[in-house]
Amino acid sequence: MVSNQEAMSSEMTLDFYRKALNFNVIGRYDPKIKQLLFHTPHASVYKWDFEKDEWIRLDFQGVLAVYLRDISDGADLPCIEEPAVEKDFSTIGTKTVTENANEVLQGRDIYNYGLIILNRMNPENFSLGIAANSVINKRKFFSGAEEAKQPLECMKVEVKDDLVIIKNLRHEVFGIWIHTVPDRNNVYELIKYLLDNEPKTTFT
Amino acid sequence: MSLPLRRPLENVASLDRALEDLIVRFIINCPAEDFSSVERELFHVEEASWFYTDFIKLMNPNLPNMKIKSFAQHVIKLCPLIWKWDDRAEQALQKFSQYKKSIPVRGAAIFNKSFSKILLVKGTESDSWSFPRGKISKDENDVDCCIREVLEEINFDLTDYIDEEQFIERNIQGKNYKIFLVSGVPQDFDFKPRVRNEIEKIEWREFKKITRNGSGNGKPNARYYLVNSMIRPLTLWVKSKKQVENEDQLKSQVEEQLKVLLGIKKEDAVDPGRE
Repeated sequence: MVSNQEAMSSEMTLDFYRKALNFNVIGRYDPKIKQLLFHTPHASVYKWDFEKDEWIRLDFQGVLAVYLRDISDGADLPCIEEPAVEKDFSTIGTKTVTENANEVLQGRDIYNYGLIILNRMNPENFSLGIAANSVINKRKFFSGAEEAKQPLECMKVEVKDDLVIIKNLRHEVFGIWIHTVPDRNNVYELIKYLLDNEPKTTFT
Repeated sequence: MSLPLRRPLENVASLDRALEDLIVRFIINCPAEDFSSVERELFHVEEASWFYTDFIKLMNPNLPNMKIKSFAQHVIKLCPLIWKWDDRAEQALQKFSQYKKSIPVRGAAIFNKSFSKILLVKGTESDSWSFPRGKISKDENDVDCCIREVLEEINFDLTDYIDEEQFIERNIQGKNYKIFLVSGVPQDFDFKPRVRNEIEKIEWREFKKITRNGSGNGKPNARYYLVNSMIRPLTLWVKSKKQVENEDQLKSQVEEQLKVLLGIKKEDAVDPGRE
């Protein structure tokens, strides 16, 4: 019994440590992380090619996490210039990382949530900014100048053929394959919840 | 639409920071089943160490060079929670390399159209030349493994070239090798490795020269790994293939000549518009 308890507590310690380390490391990529909402061990990303009518596999595979962001300071998103080294890496594979990755968000930071895949293929991570649909609709009416610079649409999410399909803010379509089967639905439910409800500043 | 992410790996503050990133990417978030044996966990540690050499060390030249052994020790020291076994990392790694030896390897002997040349690769950590090849993954069949490994090592897709019946199989030091025989690959294709730091060179070699070097004096030639032990079946296969091709050529020549003799014209179809 004692050993069982010990095993349980060491499992809990590991879990606690895992969450803390995940938070810290994601925070080095996106310093606005406030709370981890969900993570699943392994995911890979496909992008829908509208011209060819098929999924293209992108060079992103790894841990997927969805997190809450602190945007209370109302600041703009930082501009991050393209790194010189990136070109180096992208020529190695057949597909270049840059041409397949999605556009970077600019302007006012209104993105309450983030999705990230910590990539095992190369240092470049996959990221999606997530804003509740109500936020996007409000932006259309009240922030004309912002909207003109980078027009955004409401995001959509569904589960189909083993993929969690996400239409991003520009209506590009990504299919996310998740290794842990029940997590496909969990990710779907979570993102759907985030989109359909007013943005939250905390989850308890 | 991606959030503008920072790039902390381009300028890491310390080795520990880099390792934490790798632990998150490769090790600590693995599904529970991957922590069920030392071997399975070490696979992830090994993958992380490749990422370290391939990317992080390249971007941060001041970081130390680390082979798998010292890398594993550092990782375990930094994050002892992930190591639940009594074994020390060194012993575990020894077992791991033992374990890897028992995993079957699949590859391809790739010839050009005329069977005069064979495509060989040289690994970064080895002085000898051999076929593009690699270890089979979980639940993967031989042909898929061969196609995947060849694609990774030389960026050429063998899907339309491979014949699952044509192969040479050998067991060397307890390890099973199955090398598929492939021909007609374009010589001018721009071969290059997809995976960094694994393949150093890719070259077409004169097949005749290799056969001479390999079996001439009975001594095995250290410069050709695996190829040596397969020289004889390879030569036989090339011979039989050439024969079939010659026979086919002969047949079509005879057909041509017969047609000429019998007065059968090549263009039998009459242009209907001009009739």
